[in-house]
Amino acid sequence: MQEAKAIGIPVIATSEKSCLGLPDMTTESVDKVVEDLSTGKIDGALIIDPRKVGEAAVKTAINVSKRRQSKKTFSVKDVSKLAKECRSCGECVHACPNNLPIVEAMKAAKERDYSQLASLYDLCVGCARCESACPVNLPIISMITKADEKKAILEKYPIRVGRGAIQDVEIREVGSPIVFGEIPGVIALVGCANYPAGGNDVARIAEEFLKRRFIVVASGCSAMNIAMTKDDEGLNLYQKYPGNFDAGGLVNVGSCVANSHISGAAIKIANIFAKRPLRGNYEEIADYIMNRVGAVGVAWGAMSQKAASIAAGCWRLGIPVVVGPHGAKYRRMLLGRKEREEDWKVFNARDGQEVYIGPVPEHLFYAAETVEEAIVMTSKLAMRPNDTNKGRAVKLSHYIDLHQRYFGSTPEDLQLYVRRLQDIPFTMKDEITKILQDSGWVEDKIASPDPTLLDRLVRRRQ
Amino acid sequence: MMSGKMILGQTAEIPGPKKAIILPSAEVAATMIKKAKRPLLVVGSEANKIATKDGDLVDSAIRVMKNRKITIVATAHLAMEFRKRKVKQIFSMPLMNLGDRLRDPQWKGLDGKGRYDLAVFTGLPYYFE
Repeated sequence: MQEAKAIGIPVIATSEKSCLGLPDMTTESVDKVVEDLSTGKIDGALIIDPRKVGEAAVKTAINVSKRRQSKKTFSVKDVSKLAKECRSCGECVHACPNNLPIVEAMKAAKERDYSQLASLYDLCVGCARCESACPVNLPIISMITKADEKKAILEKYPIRVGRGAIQDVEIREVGSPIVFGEIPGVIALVGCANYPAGGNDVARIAEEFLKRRFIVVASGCSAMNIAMTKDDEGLNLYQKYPGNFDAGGLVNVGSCVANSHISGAAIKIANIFAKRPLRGNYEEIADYIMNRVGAVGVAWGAMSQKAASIAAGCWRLGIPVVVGPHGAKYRRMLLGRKEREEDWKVFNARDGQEVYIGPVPEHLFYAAETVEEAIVMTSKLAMRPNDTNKGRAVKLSHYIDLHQRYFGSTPEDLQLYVRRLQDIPFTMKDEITKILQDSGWVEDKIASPDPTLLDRLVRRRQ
Repeated sequence: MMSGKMILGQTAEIPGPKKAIILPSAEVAATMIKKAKRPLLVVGSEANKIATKDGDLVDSAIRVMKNRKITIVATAHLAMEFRKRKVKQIFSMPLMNLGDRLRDPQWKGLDGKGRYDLAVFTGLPYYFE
């Protein structure tokens, strides 16, 4: 309300659960509400009738347009004046979830160097905790925005329209290559915009997997940040990659409410491709996804309880979720211990034998410290016990390649993911075979069963 | 912290987990490390951005490594920095995996020789405290 009042914008609340103490004008005529809002008699109103809201909002916006043009916030020069009030106490930095160097930026702004404030624009998540903490009440976010005003004004980005559910016909096309691992995985980029180092990291994760022919699905803030990240030629990923639900495709399913379409796609694979019945059959669907569908969720800007519950909606279906470093604040992770063989056993539905399948997927809910760690972990979590030799080789080649690039070495846990020699990526055969020999690896110690965690799904017992 | 005596720190935002203790000075850390029988120094992803008298925190960790009195483990992708600086053998483990193992009394450590009685964390983003 304070922000809106400062820039002369009337507020219409539409829910009594969040009415900001505004007078209830639901029963008043639209003309009366518009007049009171336009003349400034009231700062805002609660209107519960959505038809009245639509009419009153449009009419009021037209009426106040002229008045608002005369309403100016501070100028760039005022930023310097305001910055001189800064005491460099550091309370803002302490309150900032991303530990941004606000004090240093203020010091520079005092000397009319606004570049450091401007550089915070992309990194700031806009939570305003700094403003609440500031003992001299500096409008820090407005100062940052003003310092980078040109960029803020020019912010226009093409985005692929949020398209909703993945269609059944698309699932029929990709069901088999996903389940057998030939499409190396489905990466879902979800979560809030509370990124540790700006939204560009989301686009970086997306492109890393698009180049490798994973299917990349995005929603909400992540879908927007992918649009807002341009390469040297001024193109974003939506302009560079196709929008179909297939290898190398980038799909925007829609808002974060549309996350259900992502888990829905995994459920459809079990239902349409594998003909598992849906009704009253959650256990079997989750068992199928966990053991066969190489999908991984990445909520790089994990923030709200809503984001945490979206993640929970995925991992309870057997889709591992990697969250950004802020996700550590949930204090709840679902971590596997890859070295404990007894933890990684399933039934072979073909003969009822309990067999060791290696740590796939190793974790179900995991906070990564850096974007590089997240990329490597995500590629590893795409492996499933049902992968064919060819599928596992494709997935391993990505895991090894990414590990070498970001960690500077071949993964130390490689022997846990190679079941037999045919799993080894062809181009890495000599190098990997030697590593396996040195680690005491034994062929076929890791089984390739028809995997299930449900005893009742065993078809025949020996 | 690993030691039972040291679980007097702040509780986290929710009941149950305990936060690590933030040490007031390097001297306190040095004394604790000297007293420990099997200390572990966890070096986080921000180490190459923190200046020290050696250069940065990775350089300092490499110097400490040479004393062979404390085991050093790099989290996230920081092992890459050690390798770039010609360190061939460096323990590397993601922070979540490490935290999960440090709380396990059965864990035999990175070298398989037993549990650690002190874990000192440095170079991590502050919100991991």
